[in-house]
Amino acid sequence: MQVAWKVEAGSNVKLQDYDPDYVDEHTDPALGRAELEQLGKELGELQELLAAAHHHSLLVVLQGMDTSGKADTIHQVLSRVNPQGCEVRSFKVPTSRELDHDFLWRVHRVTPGRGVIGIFNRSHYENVLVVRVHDLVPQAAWSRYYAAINDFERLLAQNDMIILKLYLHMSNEEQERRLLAQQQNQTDAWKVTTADWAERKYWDEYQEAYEEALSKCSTDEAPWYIVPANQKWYRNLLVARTLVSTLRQYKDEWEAQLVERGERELLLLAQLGHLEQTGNRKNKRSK
Amino acid sequence: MQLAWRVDEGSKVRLKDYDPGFVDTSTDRALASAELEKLSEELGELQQLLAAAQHHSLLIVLQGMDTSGKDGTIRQVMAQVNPLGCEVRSFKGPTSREQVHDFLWRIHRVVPGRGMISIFNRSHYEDVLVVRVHDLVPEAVWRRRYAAINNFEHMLAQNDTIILKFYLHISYEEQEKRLLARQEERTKAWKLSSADWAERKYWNDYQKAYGDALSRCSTDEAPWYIVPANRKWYRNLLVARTLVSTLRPYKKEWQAKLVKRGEQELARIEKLQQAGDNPVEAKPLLRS
Repeated sequence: MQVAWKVEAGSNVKLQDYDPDYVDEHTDPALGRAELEQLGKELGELQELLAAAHHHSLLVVLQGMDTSGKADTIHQVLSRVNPQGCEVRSFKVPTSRELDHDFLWRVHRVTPGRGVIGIFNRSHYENVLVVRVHDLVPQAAWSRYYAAINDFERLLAQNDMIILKLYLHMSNEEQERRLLAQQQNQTDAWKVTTADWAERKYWDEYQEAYEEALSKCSTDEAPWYIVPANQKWYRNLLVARTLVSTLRQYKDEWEAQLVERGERELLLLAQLGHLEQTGNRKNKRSK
Repeated sequence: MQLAWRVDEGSKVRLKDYDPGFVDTSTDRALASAELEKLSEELGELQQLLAAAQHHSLLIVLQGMDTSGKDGTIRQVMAQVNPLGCEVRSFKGPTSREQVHDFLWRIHRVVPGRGMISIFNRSHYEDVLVVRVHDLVPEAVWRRRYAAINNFEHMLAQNDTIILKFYLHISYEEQEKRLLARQEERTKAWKLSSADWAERKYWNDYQKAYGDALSRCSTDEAPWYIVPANRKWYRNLLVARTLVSTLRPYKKEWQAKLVKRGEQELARIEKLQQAGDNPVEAKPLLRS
């Protein structure tokens, strides 16, 4: 099964080596939709186990250029997941209170606790992306952020957080098509802002910043995945496949934990029952 | 001027080598209260500058065995600091909400923002102290926390947090004296709990855990200081001296920032005046 392209720790990513249009030969849009349906269901089941086992948490980081489909991916892939166990966090421009702190402060606050899925629609990586591209802090500051991010994610991973970081990889031409389509479509026009066109001028700088983030911050415990995202249906499918195939590996462990906990509860109940029985016997004897 | 003993990065601390009853020869008790008074006044002024300059934050970590005087130190040393710019945080046993996160999660939430002073009455170090002594997590888990703590404090320091960590060092005998005194004094008995006596049995384990924490987590950017704390007056004095002498070097920088900001504001006002919109003259108009 083709999943998203994992960035191995220590590798040097060149985004032009990855085809944003890629579709594997075993699938097509119709098959893709049916498979996504199945995967969505399985994801729902896995989330229930994750929540019940209450040992791991899951953090999904979604990054990508404007119009790459972060919000849509969340909607399509995670619609089967119980919203009670799933929090989506968006990170806008930091407030003045947030600016008074280090860049990970506001992120740490909203990391998922045990049993919970946290989805970051944009994330702490913006501090080495938009912040870098627009010189919002001196280079000396943002160039230290990569190590800080790795230390931070290691802390989370050591506390049993499963971390998946997905870069939705779309081409420059595709972005133009999407922006134009949004403008032409009356119901989509509200999504367009002049800022999107302005940001588009920095395409190359963003690609370079993404390459460095993906190269420096992909680790075994918190890997980056590159998702070819020109085809929306395939993007959703790959994200779902990557999520499911990561979580499947934990299924046995979670079930075993639940069985063990169940047995312990039954044992306790049996002990209580035993006490009741002896109590009954005594009562009978006293008759 | 004698300060608290700084633990140099990479050194190996054996608490036995430090005398909890130490008092330097140029200080006596009568002079001390006058000096403390002066120092805490200066601390109040430095805090105002810190708050106004809005660039650095200050984190003070206080650790020590039961009865070592963490609360007393805060009360005595920080008496002149504007409470508006100073938060004291105590860390009790973690709540169930806190327990579903990593051990630094609840700490990170309450670190001081720019311009603020935070005092941690106990801290993230309890996760390598009480947690270690009582095996609350497996050894493999608490072992990797030293590195996590260093990474965390490194990030705070890079974000302009000035970090000072004080270990209030009392002797085993002094603790017994203080516990007994509490029992005998009606007005202090409320402080006692049977848990204090129970914890005392683990004295040696705690001293070893403290030795490790101080050795592994004292860095140039977030140093540990050992404060001889058998004498309360001298403990307070040393903490005050160490705080003031750490903050003093920033004074010029903060003042320069304020002067510069003032000049910028004046330039802006001048510009407005030239444009015919005079905010200085507008004021009396408003009053009438």
